[in-house]
Amino acid sequence: MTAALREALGTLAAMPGVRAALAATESDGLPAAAVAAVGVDTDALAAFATALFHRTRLANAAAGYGETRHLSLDAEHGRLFVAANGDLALVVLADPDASAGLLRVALQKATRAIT
Amino acid sequence: MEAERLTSWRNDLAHDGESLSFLPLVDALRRMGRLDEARRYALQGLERHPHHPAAHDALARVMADLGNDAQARDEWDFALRLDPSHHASLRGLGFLAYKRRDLASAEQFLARALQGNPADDGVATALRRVRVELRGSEALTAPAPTPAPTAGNGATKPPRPRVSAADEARQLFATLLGDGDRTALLLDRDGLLLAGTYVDGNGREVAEEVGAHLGGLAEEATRALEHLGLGRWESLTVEAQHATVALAPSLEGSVVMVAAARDTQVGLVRRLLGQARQRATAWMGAVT
Repeated sequence: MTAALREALGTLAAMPGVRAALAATESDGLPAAAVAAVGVDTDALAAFATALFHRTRLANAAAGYGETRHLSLDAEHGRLFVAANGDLALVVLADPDASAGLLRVALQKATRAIT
Repeated sequence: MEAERLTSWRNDLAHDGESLSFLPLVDALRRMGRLDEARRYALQGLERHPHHPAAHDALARVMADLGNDAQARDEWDFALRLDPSHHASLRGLGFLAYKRRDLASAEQFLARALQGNPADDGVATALRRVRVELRGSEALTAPAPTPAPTAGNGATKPPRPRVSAADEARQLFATLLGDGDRTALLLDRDGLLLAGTYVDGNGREVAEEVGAHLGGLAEEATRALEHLGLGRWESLTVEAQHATVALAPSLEGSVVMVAAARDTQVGLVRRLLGQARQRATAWMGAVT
């Protein structure tokens, strides 16, 4: 794990309401690095979050919306955020009441930082 | 993982050319938008199983997604000759008939499909929609009503403008969206268009095409959340190069989608989504 990636994940994981922050390769869905609370299955999180992002990327391209930059999924028991930089996707899992605005900005900064 | 399932089905076929694994494989590829690959496997499967209705259905779905309605119709017709109660084929022919505005045929196919599987909410919703539109078109062709009574001052009351059900569906979200570069659609659980309209920069109606591509995201989101134990999904917001797209579930497995130009604030898109969702829920309730 590079220092920049370690710092980016640490910053994301320290934000209020965040349960896990990880980096995963979009092509195979495997986690490259993770900072997570006890009990979070980072393998499953990486696999499903990257699969959803990949599917979204294909749908957006087919619909003519161009490159996919950021995704957020709100669910009953949590919020999922994904952004990608090349083949590397940054994934954040947070509580349902975590601030979507703050996390969106933090994730964008983190994505730029690991370039 | 989807990739593992695809590999497993491909392996099945490599080991046993007669395997029916091509059916889920074609369906998965189709949902992923890999239509050429899906068509190739569907044709291979059909060669091996020419008397299996599901093989014809698999190819028909791919052809429908490719926009080749004529071949899709042929395949579903053939499947029905093999099995007159084949649910997926009745459903497919119903939707094709609806698409070409042959409402009477659509009603017949969808009613037969629903009779065979009353639990299919998508068919039930579509059938209600078709029947409402049929009533609307009958009203439009009915003899002119007697003149409206005159008001006390002798002036004739102006007649209320009559809007067909199809127009009402198309215009469902129009007043929410304003004049900006925004659109909203209501899609059934299969990504088929229920309401809304979407005209691209070239003046082409692309609602069905965009719906087919984006409707599948709801299914992928549901699958991810199930595995991660996060419960039901409430909304999905995607920021892309040229647009921000937001989706939310509505009644009976349907999905509301709002898309706006990239310079529209994400918060505004989410707000529009909430309003569109309310309107879709009310509309579907009224159609029931």
